[in-house]
Amino acid sequence: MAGGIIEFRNVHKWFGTLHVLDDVSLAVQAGQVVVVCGPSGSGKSTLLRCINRLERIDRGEIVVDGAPLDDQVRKITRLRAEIGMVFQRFNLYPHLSVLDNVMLAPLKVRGLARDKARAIAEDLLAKVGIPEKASAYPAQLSGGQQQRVAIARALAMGPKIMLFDEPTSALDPEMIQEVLEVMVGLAEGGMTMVVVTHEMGFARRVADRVVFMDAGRVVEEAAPEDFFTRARDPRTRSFLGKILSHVPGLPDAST
Amino acid sequence: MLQSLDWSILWQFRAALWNGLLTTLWISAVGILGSTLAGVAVGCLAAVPSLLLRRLTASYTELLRNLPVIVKLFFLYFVLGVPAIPAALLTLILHQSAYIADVTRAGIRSVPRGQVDAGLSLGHGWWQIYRHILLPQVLRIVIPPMTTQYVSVVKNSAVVALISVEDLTYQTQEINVETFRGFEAATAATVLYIAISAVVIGAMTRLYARLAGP
Amino acid sequence: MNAAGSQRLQAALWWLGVAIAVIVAAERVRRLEWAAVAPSLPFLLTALGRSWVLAIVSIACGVIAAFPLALTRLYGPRGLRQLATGAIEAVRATPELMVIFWVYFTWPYLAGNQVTAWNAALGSLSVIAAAYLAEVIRAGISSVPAGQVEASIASGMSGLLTFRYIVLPQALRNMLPALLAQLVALFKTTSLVYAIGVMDFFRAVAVTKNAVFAPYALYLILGAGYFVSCFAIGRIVRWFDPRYQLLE
Repeated sequence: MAGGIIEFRNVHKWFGTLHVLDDVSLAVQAGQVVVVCGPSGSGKSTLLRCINRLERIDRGEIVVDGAPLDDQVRKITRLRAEIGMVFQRFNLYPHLSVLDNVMLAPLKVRGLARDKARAIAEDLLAKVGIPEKASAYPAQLSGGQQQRVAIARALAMGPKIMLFDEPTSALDPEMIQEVLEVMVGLAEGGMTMVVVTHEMGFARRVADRVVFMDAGRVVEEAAPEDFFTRARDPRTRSFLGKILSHVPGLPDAST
Repeated sequence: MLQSLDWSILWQFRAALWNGLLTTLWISAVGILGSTLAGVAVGCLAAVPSLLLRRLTASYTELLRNLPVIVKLFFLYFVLGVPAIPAALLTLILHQSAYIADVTRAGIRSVPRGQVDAGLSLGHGWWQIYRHILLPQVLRIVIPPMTTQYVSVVKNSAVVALISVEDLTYQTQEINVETFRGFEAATAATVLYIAISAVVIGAMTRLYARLAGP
Repeated sequence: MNAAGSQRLQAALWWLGVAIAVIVAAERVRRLEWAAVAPSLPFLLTALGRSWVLAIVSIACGVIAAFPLALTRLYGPRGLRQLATGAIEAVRATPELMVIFWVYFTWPYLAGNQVTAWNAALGSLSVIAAAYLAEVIRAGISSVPAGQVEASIASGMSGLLTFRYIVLPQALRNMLPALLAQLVALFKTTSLVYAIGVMDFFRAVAVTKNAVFAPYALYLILGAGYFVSCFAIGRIVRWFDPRYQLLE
């Protein structure tokens, strides 16, 4: 396997007796967009959370940006600053304004001057399309707006890699598109992205590769075109059959 | 029987009651401040994901919570020989800090785990996560239970009368010893204690409203 | 062994270790005079039993008084409701020691005769228990969702039947942990009746300490007596409280 910016080498992880990652090997090249999908409980979120060490692994090795992940707290903290992450539930800080949410890490982790951090934050809020909400609090925003702030917050650290953990699954249908647009923009700008999502339209449009996981294993890994039309594994085909039939407005094909 | 009450006794002993009130006030204030500092520190340590820290802090809170205030007070004063005022303050601080530690820990736990994940993913260290992300959110959550704790400090401060610290309760006993007017003295002291509690509750309610935010 | 079981075992071992460490440390520091204390043990244990009796009898009296108080505060007519609220809040804002003095000083005025310290202790602890338990009961009743009452009324049950068969059973289950927590608090409060001369566990130790020079041994016994009693009740609380089972 060629060296990528993210590399999983025979990674295993257990939650108690549950084998959540079972011999996972995977490489993501710089600038690539990789979409990870699979049924719930398949280990896809755990896979993502291992990349910035929110979860530790039990066996195998993960190499990020040329350095193997280990347990040294300072190294991990420094590494996390280079990897942005966007969560399903946004996880904005409810006690801080939108602007302060975006500025906190640049100020405290990077040690930037206040006006510099502010300039970065305002620039990014404009980029995700909500410059007018800078002084609002998270509770005053719609879900879609909150998620766009969360993306701006992650980008404010100037990350090399962006991780997305089901960024649209907590959103009302009419807000999914505005978040996906921002993500497409990022992908087209050359950002390395690992995205856990069931938005297959997004995968088709910008993904370089799609990874399908089931029961902790990588079952299938292919370019989107092949993935959607020529999936080899029956589990992949069954999964695709279920989620592609759930497009709103279409009759459910699986019944 | 009630007509035999003599309320003028309170006026006669106004200086004693006033001094007692002041003593109760400052002992309570130091007790509140000290137990908050100690309790929040222990509570923060208890919330760190480390089995050793959890056991240590649990031992601290369980041990102190399960012993009556008076036991700690008498141990410090009569067995270890700590002078009365320091013994009184230390007792109030140790006792309430255990409860405040539990309140703090529960408050920190009630902040969704995603907040910590977000902080970690942006490269914050644990100190920054506590300082900038968790504690500001916890502060608001814990104000109502903290109010109860602070009222408890005021109430527990009465126990120091038993080692002759001249607080409000002590003066009540003195008046009773000198004049057998325990009923009148106890009534006065009780009204004053309730007034102090009311002030504490009022202040905390205002603080809560101030922090209401968005 | 499952994960929860091994956690519990670990915790038990930890506490055992703490207990042994405390005893060993105390032994080393002061060479405890166990022999001097031993003859007093039956006296001390009897007194511990007396403290238990005080706590249990007064919490029982407290429960009986607390129900009408709580119901008045919740459903009573206007004037009475404020009166109940005022009484409950006043007792809760007054130092326990003051309440004990109060009962001790007031009794002669109301009853016209002197009161024994034991009765004053029982009376004051019952008053304290009643005030706190009234709040526990009120919170328990309030914790039953309004939808439960609506469903019951909608099915044609009267208000009284609804309270008896829908609200009360759920409320009782919800308030059990808080009720036992009050027992712990009250047990610790019994130590304050020392101040009016009742021979409870605390006074028994204090008296023995004056007769025998073994302060560390006596305070170890004192601490152990209260700690084990309260800790035990506290653990029973956890069995009843599903929240703790999730946290552990």
